[in-house]
Order: sequence, then structure tokens, then C-alpha cells
Amino acid sequence: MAGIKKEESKTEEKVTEVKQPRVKKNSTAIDSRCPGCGSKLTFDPKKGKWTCKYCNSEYTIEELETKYKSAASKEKNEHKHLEEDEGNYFEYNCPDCGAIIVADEQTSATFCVYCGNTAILKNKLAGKFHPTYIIPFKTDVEEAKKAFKNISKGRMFVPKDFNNEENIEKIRGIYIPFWLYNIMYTGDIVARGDDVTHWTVGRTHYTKTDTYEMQRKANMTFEKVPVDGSSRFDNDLMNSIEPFDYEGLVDYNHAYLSGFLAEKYDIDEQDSYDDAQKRVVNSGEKEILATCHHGVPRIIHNEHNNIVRDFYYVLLPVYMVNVKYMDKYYTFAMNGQTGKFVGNIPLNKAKVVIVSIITFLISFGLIELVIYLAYIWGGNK
Amino acid sequence: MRKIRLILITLCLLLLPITVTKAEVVTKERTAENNYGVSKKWDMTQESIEYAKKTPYVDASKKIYDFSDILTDEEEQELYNRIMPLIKEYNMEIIILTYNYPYSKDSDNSYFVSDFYDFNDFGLDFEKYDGVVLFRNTYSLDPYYDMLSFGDAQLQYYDTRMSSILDALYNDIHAGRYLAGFNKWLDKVEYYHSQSGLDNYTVDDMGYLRKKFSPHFGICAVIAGIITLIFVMVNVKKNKMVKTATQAAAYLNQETFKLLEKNDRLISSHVTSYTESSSSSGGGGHSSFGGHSGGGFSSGGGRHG
Repeated sequence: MAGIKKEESKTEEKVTEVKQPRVKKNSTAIDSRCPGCGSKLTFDPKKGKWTCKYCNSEYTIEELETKYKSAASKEKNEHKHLEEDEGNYFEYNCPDCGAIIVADEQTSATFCVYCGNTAILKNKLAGKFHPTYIIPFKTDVEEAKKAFKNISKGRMFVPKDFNNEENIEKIRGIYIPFWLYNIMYTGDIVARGDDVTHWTVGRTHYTKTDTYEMQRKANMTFEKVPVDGSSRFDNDLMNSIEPFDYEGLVDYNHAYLSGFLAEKYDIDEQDSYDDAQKRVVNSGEKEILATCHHGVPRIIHNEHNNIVRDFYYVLLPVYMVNVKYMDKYYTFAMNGQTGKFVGNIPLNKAKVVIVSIITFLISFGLIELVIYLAYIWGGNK
Repeated sequence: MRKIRLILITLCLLLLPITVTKAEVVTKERTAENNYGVSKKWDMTQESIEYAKKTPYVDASKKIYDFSDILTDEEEQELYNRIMPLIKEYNMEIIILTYNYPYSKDSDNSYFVSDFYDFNDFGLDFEKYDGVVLFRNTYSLDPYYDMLSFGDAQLQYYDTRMSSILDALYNDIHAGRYLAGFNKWLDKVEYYHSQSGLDNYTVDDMGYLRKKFSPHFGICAVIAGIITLIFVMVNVKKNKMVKTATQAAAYLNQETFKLLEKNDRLISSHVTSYTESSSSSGGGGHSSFGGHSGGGFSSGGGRHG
């Protein structure tokens, strides 16, 4: 990996990896509770507000921040402490019912299996794990369920009962950690292309080929190129739900995690950068070649230089579901902002065979019919 | 003196049948009552009636019609004796026709022969008036000869075969060795009858060669297989929604694009040429011509000489 070069005062500088201690002790589980009645608050993606189903209160982020600040000092003493586990799993005490919640190292927001309350593990999202921005969910879980239910529409090889109610109920909203990079790409390319012209004099056909060497140097900036920062999610799957509308980025606040699961990154900005760089180089080359207007350009020489101007740690909204089919798990993801649903659906092999046979017979019959009609309508002379 | 003159006249009258050894072809008259001599199924239009009237109406059993008198009676008899068993064996007419027919185009010969065959009672015993004709036009300005086939005989004696037969006869016909030439023709008729015919053709009710319907199972299976493969692959691909991202074009800020250097240099230039050949190859099919009767026939293409 080339390493991240961050521009500072026109000097290319590698970002040095900052070693962070693993936080295993004294993490605190808090929930998002109604400042009025203390009941569970949930984030309504459509309203963009937190609602209390018990007292019907609605709060904006600003209102919640004001209320929570005043209660912050009290909160410190109310929560019980973490007991360290021998492995990478940790136990927390639910502030609502006191039950033990078990979560792994990457989980930063989860649910209490007894009372269903959201447990946001604040310390997991502190320090270097504190996201800069977040895109709150814009679609609710019902839309995700509907999208998953409609997955078989227009697809003839979806296995029966693949998207049944049992699987639909497994859909969960998760905030996935992403790195966003602002990268300035500079490319220096030499390409060759042929201008070909044809003309005819009498029965003689002429072809003239002019070969040009085209030298181009350009720079451009790619803004907020996303790379999934969690090793638990397939990079291709996460890439496939792109693009996110970055107009929806807001400053991070724990309260947005209410009602959803959340992960923290386990692949740092250095290791994630390689994927972003590859994409930027490919697109940068393509943009430069688009300025070469002599034939189809063939690259003879290519040099590029990438400088990371900024990078951000953000949480992006994704609905996920894991479906087991024929002893294999298939993961599906829906962009929680745009509603784009992706995933590889297993093939119903019996359907593939039947459809292939039917298609072959129908096309065979139609071709024979066409040949026969051509014969009848004059092809037999 | 009178006696001497009487004796001479008597001698002349007695010798006349002995010196004229060539019998003339007997023709009949075409009238509306006998449907202008046409017993075949052709619809007799005013135009075809006119052509029929111009065509000699002959006894179809003779098989050899030497209007040009280029064969002796003995030669005609020899040929007749050879032809008749072949007609019975092959179930088709075998006709030799000689005529002094002035023509301006080669095709006039073909039409004359096809009219002669169609407007006489040849081939009536066979399903599609099957038969072959060897025609010798003794037109002094441009002698010509050709071979035509009718009905199912076109499957055995098609254009290219007949063309090669005509080539084989050229030396004899051109030199006036007609008996030898006609015998050679009969040899060829026998030879090609023993060969396989056009399997992928058939002859329709009007005597035209038609290509048989060929289902082309192999080609159809290949095309159907390709269509099936494409159709299935497209639908399989619908199940694969996850793609590896290789581009970042969606994140490019177009306003930041700056072309710092641009230099185009012509490094080589060359011209190539080719000239189209004037010759063109024809198709490999066989076809029938249409006669004035409406029926079809095949021709060997004819030869001058």
C-alpha cells in the first residue's frame, strides 16, 4: 500500500497511525430515554425526530442535547460498571431492567434481549472511535422489509420461500463505520490513438491511418470516496449500496443510534485507503483519456500521484439481513438513506434447468417456424 | 421418240421412291375442336394458343422428330430401338428433335423446344410429364443444340449435368456425325440416370424445381442454445446484485478538474488500398425456366456449332 499522504502546507506527508489502547474496562451502557417520562425513545427516520411512544413526546436533536446536558451529571452515578470478559466479549448491565447484555468488541449500539431497550455503548464511540459525521436513517424498517419482500419480482430463479416472513423479520438497521477520503489525483499519461479515414476512387478503396501520441497531465479532486471500515461486512456488498447522498451528513450524535445497531471500525484509515486509491486511479485515468480525441487511446506511459486532503470517520445507515439457504448464509443490505437494496440471491437450480429447457424448446420451435415461413414465402425457388 | 420419252418418265417414277430414303415428319392440324392438340393440364390462354399454333403437332409415339432430315430412316430406327426400352425402364420420355428454326436469341431455342414438348402429348403417361429432349437446330446462320428436361427428370438431368453432356457431344454434333452424337447423348442419359439426383430439390405440380424444406436441426439447435444461454445468463445475473466497485467517478468534483498539459503529436501516417475484383461468383442453386405453357423446364444452356 502506498500509504496515505495528507497535504499540509503543500508538503506531502504520510499520516502516521495513532495507536489507541483497546477500551475494555469501565464502558457504560446508556439508553435513549424520554427526558419527560423516562421511557424508551426511538428515532423516526421519516420525521427525523425522536419519539416517545408512552407520552407521545417528540424531540429534535437540539432539544435532546439540552435535556441530556442537564441530566449528564446525575447519569454518571446511575450506571453500573462493566465486568471484563476473558475474550473479546463484554458484559454490560441494562440501565432499564438490570439484565446482562453481551456484546463483542466492534458493537457500539445493541439491544437488551429482555426489555428491548437500545443500549448505546458510549465508550465504544469515544476517542478515535468517535465518528465525525453520521447519515441518519431516512427509510424505516418497514420499507426495508417491503424491499426484501419484493426481491423476487422480475427474478425467475429466486428460491421458494427465500423471502418469507421468517426471513423478513430478521432485518435490522445498522450504522456501518465508513472512511470517507478527499483525494487529489494527479495523472501524467501518454497514450496513442489512430485516426482512420476511408475513401474510394473507382473500384479502389483507400484507408489512411494517422497515429498520434497524446500527452496529458491533469489533476482533480475526488470528494468523500467511501470505504467500509468494518471487516465484518463484505466490501463489495457495501460498495454496491453506494452512493449515499452526502447532503444528509450531520454531526455525529449518539442519539441517532437509538433504535438501531451500530458498529465501530476495525480497519483503520491507512488500511482502508488502498481501496479508495484504486478506484480514484481508475476514474482519474478515465477522465484524462476522455480528453484524448484521436481514435481509441492506448496507454503507453502512466504516472499518478494521490494526495489525501481529508478523511472522515462516519457512520452510514444500512439495513441488513442474513438468510440461510442450503447451509450457506447470504447477506443482503439496503441503503438506509436511498433505499437501494443489494445482495446475491442464491439460484433455484431446478428452476434454472426447467426454464432452460422451456426456453430452448420455444426458441427452437420459433426458429424452425421462421425457416419454414421463409421457405413458403419464396425461399424455395 | 414418244416411246423413249414414255419409258424415261416411267423409269423416273419408278426410281423416285428408291432415291428418297428419308421419311418426312408427319404433322397434324391444331384446331379448337382438338384443344389445339394440347391434352395436358395447362390453362390455354389466347397467348398460349398462339404459341401452340406455331408449334408442330406430332404423333407423340415417334420419339424421333427429324424435321431437318439429318438422319436416315435406318438411323432413326436404330435410335428408336434404343430409346424405347429406356423410356419403359426410366419412366420418362426421351425425345430427339431436329429443326431448322431461325432464332435471334439463344433462349428462343429453349422456348421452341419447351413448347414442342408441352403442346404435344409427351409425358402423359408419367406423373409430371417427365422427360428429356435433345434438340438440334440446323439453322444455317447459327447452328445450335441444347438439352432440356421436364418434370421429375429435372432432378436427374439438371442444368450443370446437362451442360457437361452438351460439352461431350460437341465434336460429333459440330462435325455432323449425328448418329454418333445422339448415341453418345443416350449413353449420357443412361449414365446420369444411374447417378443420384438432387436430393434437396423437388418438382412442383407445374414442373418447376423447388428447394425442399430443410429443417436445419443442427443450426436451429445451436441458435436456440445460444438464445437459451443468453436468456438464462441475463436472468442469473439479475440474482447477482453485488458488484466490485472499481470506479470513483461519482465522487469527482468536476470543478476541480484541471488539464495541466496537453500535447498531440502525429507520429506516423500511412495509406493502404485495395481494388475490388470485377468478377463475382454466383449462387450454387438450380432453377427452372418457365415455358409458354406455364410449365417449368431445365436447360443445359445450349451450344453453338
